[in-house]
Amino acid sequence: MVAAAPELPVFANVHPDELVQRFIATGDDPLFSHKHDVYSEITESVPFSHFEQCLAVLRDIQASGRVHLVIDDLGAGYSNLMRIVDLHPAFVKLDMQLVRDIDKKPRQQALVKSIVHMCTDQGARVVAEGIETRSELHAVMDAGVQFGQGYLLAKPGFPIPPVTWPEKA
Amino acid sequence: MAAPPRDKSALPNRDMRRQTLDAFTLAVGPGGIYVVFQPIVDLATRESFA
Repeated sequence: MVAAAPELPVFANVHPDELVQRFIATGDDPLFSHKHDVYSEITESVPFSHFEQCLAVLRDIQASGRVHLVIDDLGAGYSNLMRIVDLHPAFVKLDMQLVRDIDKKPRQQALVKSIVHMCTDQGARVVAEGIETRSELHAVMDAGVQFGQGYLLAKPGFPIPPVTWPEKA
Repeated sequence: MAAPPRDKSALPNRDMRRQTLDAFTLAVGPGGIYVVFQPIVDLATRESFA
């Protein structure tokens, strides 16, 4: 499976409504058939209508051992930081709003640095989404962000595009 | 080049995940969504993590 990237984990979006319906935790969901780690992205910009119910399903998914949780789009929506405490995510993905022009806005960079520190304390690694310039890449790295995604590094496509590290970055 | 806006009303569902994980091919899923991949890069090693 996943012949195009046999050694790579996969990040996949899961809508909160799918958690409410619970079928994602039944064991036959495609999430559980991947040979490598799967990171299930829960978008932070969509409110959980039944948070406690969702939390129980997420706990079941985590118990499988190879499916990890990712809070997606942090900073784009309601920014309920308690989600990070409650969900124990393996990763937090910063919305591109926090990344855009971060190199020109010291207060924004300080905020991202604080978020990275908080996530690290909570046991989560941080991905910066939407990196489009070398200056933004430098700024997120200076803020302590460990992972990046964006057009500067690789555009979306198929087959999986190669990573292009910008020169002099 | 700026990234196009994302349509959060069309998040992948179970069928989309099956296409993604089973086939890993460019496919048009329910609602006409294209399945594509964008690497997540480890900024320390500069290599693709996922």
